[in-house]
Amino acid sequence: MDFSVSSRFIAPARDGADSLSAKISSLARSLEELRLHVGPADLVLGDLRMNAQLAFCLANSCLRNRAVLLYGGIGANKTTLINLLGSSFLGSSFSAMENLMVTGHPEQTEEKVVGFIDPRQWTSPSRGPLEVIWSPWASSRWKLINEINRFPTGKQNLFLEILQKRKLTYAGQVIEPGDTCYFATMNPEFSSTYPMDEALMDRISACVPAVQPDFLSGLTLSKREEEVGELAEHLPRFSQEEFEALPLAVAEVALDSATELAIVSLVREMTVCERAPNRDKTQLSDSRPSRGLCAGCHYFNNPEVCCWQVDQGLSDRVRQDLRSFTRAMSFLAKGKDGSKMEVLRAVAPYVLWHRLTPNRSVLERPPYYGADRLAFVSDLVARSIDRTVHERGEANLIFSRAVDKEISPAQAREELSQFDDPLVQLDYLPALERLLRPDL
Amino acid sequence: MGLKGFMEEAYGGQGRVRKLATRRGSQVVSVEDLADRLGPRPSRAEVAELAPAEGLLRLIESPPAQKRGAVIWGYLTSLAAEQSASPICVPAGDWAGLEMAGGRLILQPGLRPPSHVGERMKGGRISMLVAGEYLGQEMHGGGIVCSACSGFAFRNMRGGFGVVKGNAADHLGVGNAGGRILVRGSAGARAGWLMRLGRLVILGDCADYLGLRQSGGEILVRGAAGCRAGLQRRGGRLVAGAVGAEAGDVSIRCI
Repeated sequence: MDFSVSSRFIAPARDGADSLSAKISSLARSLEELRLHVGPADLVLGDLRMNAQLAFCLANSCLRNRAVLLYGGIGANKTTLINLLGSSFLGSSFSAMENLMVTGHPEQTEEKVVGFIDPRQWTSPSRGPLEVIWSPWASSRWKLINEINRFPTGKQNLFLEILQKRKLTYAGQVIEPGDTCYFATMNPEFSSTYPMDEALMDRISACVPAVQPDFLSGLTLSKREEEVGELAEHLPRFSQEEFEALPLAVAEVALDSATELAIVSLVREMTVCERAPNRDKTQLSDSRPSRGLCAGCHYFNNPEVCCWQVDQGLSDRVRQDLRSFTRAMSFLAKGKDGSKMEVLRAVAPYVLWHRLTPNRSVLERPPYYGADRLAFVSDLVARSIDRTVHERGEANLIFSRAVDKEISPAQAREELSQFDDPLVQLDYLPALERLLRPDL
Repeated sequence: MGLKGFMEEAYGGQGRVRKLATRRGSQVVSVEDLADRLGPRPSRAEVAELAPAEGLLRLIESPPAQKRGAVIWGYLTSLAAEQSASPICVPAGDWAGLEMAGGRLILQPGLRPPSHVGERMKGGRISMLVAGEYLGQEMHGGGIVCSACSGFAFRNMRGGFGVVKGNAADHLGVGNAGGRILVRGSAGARAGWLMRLGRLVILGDCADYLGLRQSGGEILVRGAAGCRAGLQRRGGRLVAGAVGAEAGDVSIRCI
């Protein structure tokens, strides 16, 4: 098996990538100078500090077929920011971008969102193939689902098929707008919102809290005289070629082995469970850690172990999203070379927190007080990455030597049995057992 | 590149640091954490093993809301008192000072009188206002001072002393085999029942059945004892200022 880290994309010229990165920085500065988006620099990428809401939207604009959800109270510049970025990246007007989005409410139907069968063809004398009139949203490569949790739960299923896909189907017809940037916004639970389905949340690559402007930001915003639409005309515009080149420039960013290892370990650490079917927490339905699954388990209540602290396991989509956003954020931070571990530390909580339900007994303690899920997941991520970097080295090397047949699986099994770690016990040792007994 | 090469690149040759060890009890943030780990009836040694070296006082800031952590909380108050050079002040809760061996514990009054305070204690001092049932049960040493107490106070006492500044309820000092008890007010029925050793002094009056089946030790009542005082008494000394009807072998004199 080849475990080398390589990119299969043909990268654009280095100068091109640098100029794209510089143009995105210019866009971010313009948004601030025009007072179209001001927010705290709450995302720390090594020495660089950025506003998380803006950074993730920019990163998603550089990726394709990923979805970013802005989550926050009313008037927190969620929809406007995405439409502003859309007008800049697609080179269209702010008003056109506003017309493009779909907004959730109980009367929304698939016909209104995606498209409908042209009724004129029923009375037409010519009998050609069935024609669908696609909505502008369906044919666009910049898709914003506004207020996604105002769609009733059943109607949210529509987006299970659409999100992260390159094509849409309706009435047997297919439209292929190509690689698309997906965005969504949602409010916290209000009287007319609906619960979000876990499967749909799993298709959201990253979820970013959109907070209200602080005191200084409020003062800055009060000096804005012109309308948003007028100011949007002053933003830098990307050409079609530049927009197409962005994902290739991101793909040029290579992830180092340590970051790749930390990503896989993080996902597995949340997913493995001694008591779940196939040792996989994504297989659980009724029984969960928060409902007593872990009572009496060896790892239960050990703060260093992640498995019992969250109810859900993580799908492989999470691994892909972590890789994509770490790359994209490194591209934005102009850190193409070197370790991406710090970027991963900053990005991972936003990729994970909406997919995980923390164990209430832990979440309700200080400093989380049952409310700060993002902070809880951040701590969990930091603990997992630290453990991989500082404590799993020896176990990983023993396991890798056995896989590469430098030592016998039996010897590796004996040595690894002394490591009391869920990954070692529930992932590595069963893998060695399979090497020893292929019939298993 | 093989998996080994990938790992070595990831760790840059610095992977061989320390073995993974599951450290239990390194972050105990509440009494419920300990209860989850220790089960319903932990021993003092088990609690002491998992109790955090730092932050013990934070853990005992308030008694647990649920019953399952109460015994653990009691052990923690004892550990905190023993470790502290100055008196420890905590809200009154059940099992406070459980098996305490030293130090000073001051219990602040709460919504209801705490039960089982100072149970099986071996040393140190506990000061409190009104105590609930089973105060100082099976205590071997140390001392408890309270303003009043409910039933079964100082039951099966082996050593140490107890002072009740006010009144004591029924069944005071039942089955005592040592220790000293002073009640400055009155005591309820069956005080000193089955007493074998030790001393019980009541400065006020005492209700019925004082020193019932006493076989040793000393019971002194300055006031009057109720009916059937000293009934079926086989040894020891029982003195009262006055006795009611059907009294057994009781010395009556003014103390």
